Amino acid sequence: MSEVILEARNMKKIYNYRTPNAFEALHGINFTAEKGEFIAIMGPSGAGKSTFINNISTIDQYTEGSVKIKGTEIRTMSSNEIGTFRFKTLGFIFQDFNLLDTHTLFENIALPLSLADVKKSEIEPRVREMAEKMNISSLLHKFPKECSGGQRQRAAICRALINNPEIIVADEPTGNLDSANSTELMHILQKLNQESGVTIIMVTHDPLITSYTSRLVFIKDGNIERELARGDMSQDDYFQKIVELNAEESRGELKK
Amino acid sequence: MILRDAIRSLKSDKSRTFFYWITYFLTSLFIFLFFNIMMSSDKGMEIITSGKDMAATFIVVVVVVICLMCIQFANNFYVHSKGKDIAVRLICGATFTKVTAYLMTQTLIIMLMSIPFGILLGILIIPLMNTMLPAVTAAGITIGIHSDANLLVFILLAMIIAWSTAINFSFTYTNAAFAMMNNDGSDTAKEGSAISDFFSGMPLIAKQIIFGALFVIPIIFLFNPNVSRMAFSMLGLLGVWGVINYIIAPSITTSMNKTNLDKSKILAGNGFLRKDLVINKSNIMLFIGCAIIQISIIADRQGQAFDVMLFTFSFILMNCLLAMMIMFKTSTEQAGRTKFFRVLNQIGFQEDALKAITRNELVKLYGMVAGISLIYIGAMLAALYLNGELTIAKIAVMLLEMLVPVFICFAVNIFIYRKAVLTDLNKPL
Repeated sequence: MSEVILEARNMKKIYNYRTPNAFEALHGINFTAEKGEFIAIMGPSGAGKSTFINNISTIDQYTEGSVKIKGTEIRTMSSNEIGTFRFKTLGFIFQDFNLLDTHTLFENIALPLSLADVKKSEIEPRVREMAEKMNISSLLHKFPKECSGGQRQRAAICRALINNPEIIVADEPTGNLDSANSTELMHILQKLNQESGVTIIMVTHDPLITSYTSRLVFIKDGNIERELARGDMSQDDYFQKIVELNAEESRGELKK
Repeated sequence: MILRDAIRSLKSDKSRTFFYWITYFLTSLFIFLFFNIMMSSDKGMEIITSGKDMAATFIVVVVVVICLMCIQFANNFYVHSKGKDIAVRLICGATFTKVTAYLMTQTLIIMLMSIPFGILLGILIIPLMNTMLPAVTAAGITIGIHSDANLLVFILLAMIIAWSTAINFSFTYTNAAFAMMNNDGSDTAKEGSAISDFFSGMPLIAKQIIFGALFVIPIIFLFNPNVSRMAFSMLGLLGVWGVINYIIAPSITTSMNKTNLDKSKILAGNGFLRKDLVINKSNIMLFIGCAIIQISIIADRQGQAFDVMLFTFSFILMNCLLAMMIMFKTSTEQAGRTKFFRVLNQIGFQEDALKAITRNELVKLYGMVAGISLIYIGAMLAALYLNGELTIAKIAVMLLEMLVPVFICFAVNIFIYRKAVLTDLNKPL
């Protein structure tokens, strides 16, 4: 039986809680991610995808329900524990890279290692090894603004992966990349998922990007509307199903 | 409509509005006092024929330039935070003239609420100076409110208003709506310069030797009373520029990438410090340059109590304005780091660690501003002491007059920085 790495039970997120402007963005969501899964979160704009991903990954605080990562309830953790938990267990990748423009790529990638109290002598070789894998070795001394979008995203991935996290949380990681860089990024994430068993939870709008994953979770109006597992399907068939699912959902909106 | 929007905009970020206000307030107070003190002496300059005292004329020009520069940095600090607001107006069809009018209305409200109060405080201070300042009583001069001084103050304030209009107009004219919409307020100006471009092909070690020598050699010459100290000091400023660019900034990088690679707070904070230092190098040069010119004049006028008081006043005035320039330049840059601090928080830095990063960064920055200045100015003062031109007590007072404004700006900068980057730290990116 597969090991559950992340579990959300009846998770609700209410913005402006207990005020006249209260707005329930997530309505009692139940979600489970098993170790080594590669999950895509899809849904229309404003459906609650980013809210969902932020609330299951310690970035935001859910209002009701429970979220357990590796069996530990997030709400019971102190802010110190959450900080430690983030750099030891989670890696974040964002649409606009979120590198520090004031720091070189080398310094950006080394940050999580220095936080994790890794020995000084180990940091540089690890950063170089990771940069080698992502093909940005020659750019380590450069500042983000001196690099292209694809190069910056690869540096952001290096930073997310450098501590060997068990879960990667990615919010539209291909949103600012061209098609060649998007495909390359998906190959990197797929390889990481298959070879290292890293669990990846990724928000995307793109059915083609979703076709690289093992499961699709479709969120609509703050609920998990549908799910689709790839199973034994070829990527092409899986892609076809994803497109159909999206088309059905959109058509449903048209008929309203 | 524009007036109502402008008032709303001023209210929306009270601390920025306050610091913008205080710049105009202090500038008008300082120039009012400076010109009235100067006009009280028969040795001071007259409006048109300034030939009586070249040093006074020179200082007036420097005061005017520094005032305008300080206003520019304060204006940038305020207006950069309004980028998104202005971009939305431009996208909705507002013309450049309308947007400039919108910004100018805010500036004019601030001016109306600051300049009269600055002058009023000046009028109240002048009688106190007559009774309380030993330099005034010793010189047997009564400082009064002089009509020529008021005319000069009026001309300078008119220049400040025209200057603010030009800055606001150029801000909206040179920034595309898209850029403003996506700019978090950080200074994206090119950091290079004609000098750095000229030296770009040279190996770092060669640059370090050249600028190290340019920094040190003039200091040695300061101790020789037979040379023009001011000329050598000015040459040394080029050394200051190079030392910051080619010795201090690379050594910060080395400390981050080698010695302190395992210290997360230093790794994060020193990257910010390196940027702060590079964007401030011209301000540091200006700070040292102005101090040296005025110390030279003060040393030269020893025994002439009134002149010493006048130039000491301009020395304090400029130290305040120049320290404020460093503060505004740094704060404008730092206001663009809100997202960086959220990223650091997401990576795993706790709020306490981020607080420590802001504190350490600014302690080091202002420490370096004071330290680099003290090397040059300290050498100058030591040379003057050895030559019997200044006493230890006077030197100590001058150092205080230089360091106190730096310290106050450091404290204000920490407040502004933390307010900008540590509020809403947990907000998702």
